[in-house]
Amino acid sequence: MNDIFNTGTDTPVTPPAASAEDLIMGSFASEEPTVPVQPAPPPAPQPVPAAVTASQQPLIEFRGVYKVYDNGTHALSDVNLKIHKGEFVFVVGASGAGKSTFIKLLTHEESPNAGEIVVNGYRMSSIRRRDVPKLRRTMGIVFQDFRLIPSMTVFENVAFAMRVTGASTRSIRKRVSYALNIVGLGDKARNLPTELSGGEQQRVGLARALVNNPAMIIADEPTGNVDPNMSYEIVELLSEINRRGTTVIMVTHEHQLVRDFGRRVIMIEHGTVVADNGNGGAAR
Amino acid sequence: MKLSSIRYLIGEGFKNVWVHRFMSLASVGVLLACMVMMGVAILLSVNVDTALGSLQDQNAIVVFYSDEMTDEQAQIVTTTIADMDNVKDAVFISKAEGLERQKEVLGSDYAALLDYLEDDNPLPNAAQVTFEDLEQFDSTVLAIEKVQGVTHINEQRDIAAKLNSIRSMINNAGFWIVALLFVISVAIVANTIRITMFSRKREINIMKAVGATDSFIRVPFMIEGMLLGIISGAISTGLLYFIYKASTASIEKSFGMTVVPFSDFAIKMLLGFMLMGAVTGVIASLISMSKYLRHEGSEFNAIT
Ligand SMILES: Nc1ncnc2c1ncn2[C@@H]1O[C@H](COP(=O)(O)OP(=O)(O)OP(=O)(O)O)[C@@H](O)[C@H]1O
Ligand SMILES: [Mg+2]
Repeated sequence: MNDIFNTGTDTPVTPPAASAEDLIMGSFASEEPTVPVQPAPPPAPQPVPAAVTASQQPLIEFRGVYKVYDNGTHALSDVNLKIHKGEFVFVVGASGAGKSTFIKLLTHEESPNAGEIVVNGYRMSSIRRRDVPKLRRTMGIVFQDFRLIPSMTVFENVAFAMRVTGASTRSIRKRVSYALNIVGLGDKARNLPTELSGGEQQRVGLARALVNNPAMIIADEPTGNVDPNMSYEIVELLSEINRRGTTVIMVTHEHQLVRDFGRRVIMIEHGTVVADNGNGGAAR
Repeated sequence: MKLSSIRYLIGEGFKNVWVHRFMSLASVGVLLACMVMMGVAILLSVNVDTALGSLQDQNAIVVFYSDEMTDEQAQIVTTTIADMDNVKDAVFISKAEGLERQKEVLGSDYAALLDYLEDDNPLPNAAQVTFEDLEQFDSTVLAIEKVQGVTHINEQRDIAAKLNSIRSMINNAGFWIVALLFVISVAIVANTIRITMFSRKREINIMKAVGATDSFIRVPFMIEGMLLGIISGAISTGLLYFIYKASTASIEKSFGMTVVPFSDFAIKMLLGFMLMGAVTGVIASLISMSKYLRHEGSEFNAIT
């Protein structure tokens, strides 16, 4: 089925074989986000090489995706890629290249003008409005500017992500302290975000992203507003989360970070993917 | 929605009233102003309506009987009239009573004059008749005219009709004033909430990012609006009580007119205003939220 996505036609929409789509939908569509009370499973082995995972259903798939903003900006053109479960992916590129647009397409903040995106079994072309919150509960989103609610304590900020799922008070208490301990902020639960440093605030953001045990963590320049030392710590944390099985997609400008961590790198320039050192069979 | 969620969201609604207390104060202020105006309109129209109603009750017609009838016969005819459709009451007034009434009207100076007439009373026997429903005034009068022994009727048809139309005019005006003030208060409260909504946009976007459904985002705002409305409803009833007490005291003193006691409608008004406040608050918060729940692209990032 790899050939379907490898034909390299220039038509924006590459109609996929129906059977392939059905397989994707069949295996993921019914998957509800779960909130296990138990800590995450023991560290999984290092991300499996792309060659091995190529036969599995990818967690994320872009097929001939185009994004043109209302003002006429061509932000992304003919993007084709696959990201498998358990991968750690850096997305790099110059300012204005289209990295944030790529992220917004994943979170369904923006819709593509052409092409198909499948995320965790949800097809973005046909996702129902009421399924969008469900999609977002399968991902933990980390923002450059942290996005904490200033009137809520650290605990409440993290708990909030679980409240929207209707989790019980008991499991909230358990999971939130677990997540805060992972990011090393167990003792700051009662503080307000304004009482924390930038790095600490971002770690709260990270705790919030992982508290629902999501399939993937999506981070758009999570280290953009913290000092270099803290940047390393945050990427270390993301690596740790990734080792436990969560897929991580991180946009960054810090080339040194990318070099030091040696993971898959997707490079975007002027809206097209110009380099990808591990695209699960869909590289062009 | 799960029970734990509902409990949490209601708690958030209560909390928001306090967290955004300046907005709460502003909304309550606006609602209070509107509700007090509404209340004044309602109180006025209730009192005018009652006053006109009692005027109508006094607006009896007088039926005069033939002189050939004895007092006993006239009394029997009066009971016949009293039993007729649409007749509320028929009170027999004998010749003698009629003369007494005239004396009262004329006062002591002329009363002596009338004393000469006592032996040869020129007044006929009569009855004072009141109606149930003034809409059927004409047909009832016609029916009474046909009763044996009735010579003529002293009617004030046009006054009855005028009173009727004034009453319905006042009721109409009251209704439209209340409806208009309701629309105005919804609009102003929606706007007040919208102003703070702008500062809460960030919060709403974070909610969306972590996968909150629209209703999850909406419920605390609705609870908040409802609470503000209920509070305003209760306070405005209290304010109206004092306004009413103060103004009616002076009216009663200077005009010797009795007004409807506040207790007659206190409960109705309290419940009505609290309900109306709740509805206003919910509608206003839904209106002011709709813009932020609509998906307009870049929803997490369109915040700065
Ligand atoms: N909402 C929008 N409306 C119109 N144009 C947009 C919008 N968002 C982004 N763009 C444009 O699309 C292009 C790609 O933007 P994008 O934000 O994806 O870049 P980026 O790679 O994230 O850049 P940076 O590294 O500076 O964050 C840019 O030219 C930008 O001006
Ligand atoms: Mg960006």
